[in-house]
Amino acid sequence: MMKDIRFILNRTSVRLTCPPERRMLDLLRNDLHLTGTKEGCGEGECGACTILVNGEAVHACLMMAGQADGTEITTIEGLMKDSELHPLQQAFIDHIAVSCGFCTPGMILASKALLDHLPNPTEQQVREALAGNICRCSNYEEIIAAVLDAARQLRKESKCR
Amino acid sequence: MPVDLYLQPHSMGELIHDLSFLTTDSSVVAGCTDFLAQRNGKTWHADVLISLSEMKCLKEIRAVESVISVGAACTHTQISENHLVQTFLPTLAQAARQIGSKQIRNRGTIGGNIANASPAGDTIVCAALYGAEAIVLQPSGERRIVPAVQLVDRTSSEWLQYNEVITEFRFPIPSCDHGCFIKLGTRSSVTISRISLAAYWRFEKDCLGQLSVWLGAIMPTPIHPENPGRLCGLSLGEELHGRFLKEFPAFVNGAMAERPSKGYKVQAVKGLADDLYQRICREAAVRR
Repeated sequence: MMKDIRFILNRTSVRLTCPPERRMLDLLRNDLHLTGTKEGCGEGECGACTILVNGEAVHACLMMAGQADGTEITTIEGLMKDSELHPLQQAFIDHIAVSCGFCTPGMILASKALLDHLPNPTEQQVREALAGNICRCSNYEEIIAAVLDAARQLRKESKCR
Repeated sequence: MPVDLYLQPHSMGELIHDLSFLTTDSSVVAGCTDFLAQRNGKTWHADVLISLSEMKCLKEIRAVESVISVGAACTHTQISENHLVQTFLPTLAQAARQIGSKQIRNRGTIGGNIANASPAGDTIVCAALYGAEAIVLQPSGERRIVPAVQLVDRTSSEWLQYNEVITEFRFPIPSCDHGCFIKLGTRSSVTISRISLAAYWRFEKDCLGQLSVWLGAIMPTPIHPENPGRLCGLSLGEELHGRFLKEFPAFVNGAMAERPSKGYKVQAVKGLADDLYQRICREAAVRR
């Protein structure tokens, strides 16, 4: 069975037809060729497939395409604006919070969800928000430092506006 | 393709109509966190799949007289952050906050957690603690009301049928305003409960007046000491603390059949009893 699905993806309207039970992860990677979202476990344990749905971090491997109808979705590819890296992306680079890079898209999007709701998090709050994201390269300290730094940067930018 | 017919109702009328299509090869999903986690990487099939993701009426939390009504499609994030739940059902708010990761909590629902009937389900033990009722919708449009904890008992005649859907949970507001949820797992967070404890209590002057405790992930369904009153009426102190550390392991030892995990759980519940006692003491200190 096929279903018409419409949603906003990275600020652009998308309309397509697909099996509604198709995983969002497969829809993004295979149908829409947005391979920034990674498959690590397929069970909602590793967080590598994290995307934002209506501003909330969710696992793309545990969401059906049919349930995306009417939503607003952000993948890692949608973070850049006008060819400029998002402060989170820049902070991950500045703090060398990327080794193999496999967990990075999920880490950044989970962090974005946190900072969008809580612009001035404590370290503990960052740790809790990223508790569902695993880094096998063990860059956790650098990742947390990057998120806190990005939070400072975003607050500064927000004051300047 | 895994699914022959996919339905996504928007109203109760549409849902009742769609229930008539369900067979024993069908499924009803909301957040899909359990459903897809169990099927990813495997070949699966459903003749009919009903998604509740568009049912706004199943996502409401409201106070109705002396009851807090929680829609079955409310996510764990929604429940943990809701002011009514935090105020009147603090144990449920704490349990919802500790389920899985943030990503899981943003999608997983209380209806799915209970309908999945895992012995480790964290909201199940809270439903038992508060004596919550589940409203179950049938294809005829009629609703049956059943103690929520009976929906997870596979031996019960109230077990959820293949063509029924839980629409709502009604939690009676307890007379106690202190509560806590504690779980032990293999990790400090993002962990499946190996043993869990849900409690609420009330102080009477400087004593523990009323206490209700349920334990989860020990037996297939939550269990509770029939007489936690042996712990009530005493002032906080060494004697009460000692009773906590003695009564809970004794209860679990008596409740569990002999199996490999029994020794661990009898010991582990002592830790939970101690944690509960410490929480009670902290709340008492805040009161003063």
